[in-house]
Amino acid sequence: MAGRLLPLLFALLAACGALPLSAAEPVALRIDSLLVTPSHTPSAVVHVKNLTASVYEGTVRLIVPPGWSLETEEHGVSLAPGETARQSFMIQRGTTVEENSYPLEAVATGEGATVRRQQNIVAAAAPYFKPSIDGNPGDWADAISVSWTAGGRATKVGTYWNRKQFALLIAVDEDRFVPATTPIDNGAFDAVQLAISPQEARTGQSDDDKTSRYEFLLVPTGPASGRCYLLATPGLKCGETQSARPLEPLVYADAEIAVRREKTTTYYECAFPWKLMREDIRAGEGREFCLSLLVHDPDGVGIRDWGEAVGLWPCQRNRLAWSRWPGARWADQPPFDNKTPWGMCSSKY
Amino acid sequence: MLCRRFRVWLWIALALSGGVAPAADDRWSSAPAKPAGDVVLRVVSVEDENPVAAGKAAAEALKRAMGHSPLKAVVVSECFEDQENKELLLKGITSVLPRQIVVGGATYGSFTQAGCTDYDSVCLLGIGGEGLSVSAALETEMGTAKLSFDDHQAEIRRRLHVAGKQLADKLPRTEEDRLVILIADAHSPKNQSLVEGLQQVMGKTFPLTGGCANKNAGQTFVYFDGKARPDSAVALVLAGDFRVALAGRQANENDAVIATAKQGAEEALAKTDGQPFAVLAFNCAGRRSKLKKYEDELAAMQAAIGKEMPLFGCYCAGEMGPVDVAEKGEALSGGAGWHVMYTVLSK
Repeated sequence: MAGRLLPLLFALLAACGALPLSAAEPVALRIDSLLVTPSHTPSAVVHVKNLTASVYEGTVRLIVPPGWSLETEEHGVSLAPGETARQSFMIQRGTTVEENSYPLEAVATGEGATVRRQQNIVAAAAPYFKPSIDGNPGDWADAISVSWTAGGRATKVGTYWNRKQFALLIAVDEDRFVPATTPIDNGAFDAVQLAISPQEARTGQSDDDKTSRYEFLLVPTGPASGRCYLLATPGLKCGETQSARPLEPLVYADAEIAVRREKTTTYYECAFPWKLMREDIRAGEGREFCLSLLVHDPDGVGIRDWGEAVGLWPCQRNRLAWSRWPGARWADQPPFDNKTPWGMCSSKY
Repeated sequence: MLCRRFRVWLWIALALSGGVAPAADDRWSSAPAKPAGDVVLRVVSVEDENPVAAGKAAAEALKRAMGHSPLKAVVVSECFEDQENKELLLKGITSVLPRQIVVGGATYGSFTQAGCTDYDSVCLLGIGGEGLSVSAALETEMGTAKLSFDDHQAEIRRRLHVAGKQLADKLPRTEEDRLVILIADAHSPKNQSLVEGLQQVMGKTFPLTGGCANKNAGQTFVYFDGKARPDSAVALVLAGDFRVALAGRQANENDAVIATAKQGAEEALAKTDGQPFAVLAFNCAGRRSKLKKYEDELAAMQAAIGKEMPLFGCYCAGEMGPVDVAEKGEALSGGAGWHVMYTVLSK
């Protein structure tokens, strides 16, 4: 019976994109962002997914930059068809660099093949700090900023946490500033959409599943003004996030937001109160959660997706991960999942 | 005659200052240990959003817990936010206990046999008894708080070697010295250099434990003479007729944190010579953050040490003690992160 069901299961998985029809490589690999800076000896987490229709037996190795060392360099893995495992490599010695970009390589050996994936990963961590949300980026020198480039344009994100708030500074390099008050012809305008979720949360797979995220939209209303909308909270049906609901009833007045346009950069500085999220996310040093962003640059690059920047697999695109809203424009493919890990740390020093 | 007058003056001064003879602003020593005297460590913990009330309540509870044993030093582990609230807490503590003997640091919370605490909490370790003496020293302006390890490694190492050596030089040494407790604004990995500095004076095999102050912006204080000090380190030397056994363990995943908490406590107990009477555990706030339930780690410790012995535990930004690495060096203690550093005191 099981023997007859398995091929059917794999055909279904392959059809929905979870497995390739003919896998050239037996496994897929990716490395998560570090959740504190390397000199604070975090663990590097490698995800390995069996792409074959049979059990995969092998090893996963992590290659780190010169001068770094790991507690264990290799783990054995045994994966059922389609299964994904998470292997943790504790960094015993690592070096933090100002650019916050670290070349790591995951190598899986097994079933007669060696699969390699090189990634420049970042430390995605929010130090403790109480910034003033005033549009002045001067408070952000002690943040551990991450940056990525899409379509040749840079986006830089800094984060802080404190007992009352989670705060972000998002710097978007773009030629033209399009506030909501003067959208482009198709009604689209600049915005930043972000999702904050508990560490263990998973994105729904069907319209009837419940969301597990706090989803916000930051919208510029002028060169020095902005507005925040609360698009989703945990428990909302995923399907409800897929209609372009009017934004006005979703205004979230408890967020602090300041927008500033300077030369070719638009700064979104914002802070969200933990009181909204406290039941699901506990703020504290070393606590982990998920954070992802979509930067909407409709007259330029289009969507800049943090999930893509951190190397999520193509099968991790999920339309249910992000709310639709009037003005949102994305191409045929939905954005990537929003469950990318982020950490709260004490300090970058 | 002069000598007698001096002794009278000294005893009046000692009585007024909680039994402390200050040698300078940055060092003091308690009355010497008496042979065969009692050695008493007691721990209390209070949670209260009002820092003055918390400090006062904790101090009063500690006073009761110490009974008739003279209090020689009070080690504070507190987690109130911002200097203003920390100073109010100290005000509450020193309204009951002698200011001079109050030392410690800002932490991320504490744990005792009664449970784990984080925000708006204070834990006090009372060190006393006729059979124990304490000397304390303070080193300020170490100059490394705003230096990042990767950009200024050599400078940090140099400055903390100097600071550690100067700190140790301020501590009088006796044959009865048993343990150094170091509390510093020198979080991991900087703490290794500070330990090396102390070891230049005290030797590499002298038992040393401790923890690093909370390094959140605006919280990085150590306490000496009942006052909050940034960019500083405090060291206490405990001397007397007792013994210590140390062990350290490292982990950064839930199950491993729980397992190593038990293993480390078991190792320290196994090394103990005599009857254990108190446990110190300088633990990593990062370890705690990996726990699904804070209490799981405490339960693992209690599985090893039981639920009766006084346990002073605090969550730090770096720990000092026997570093859990495969290749042990010559030094008994070092500075690291992700560790729980145990000291079992026995008689």
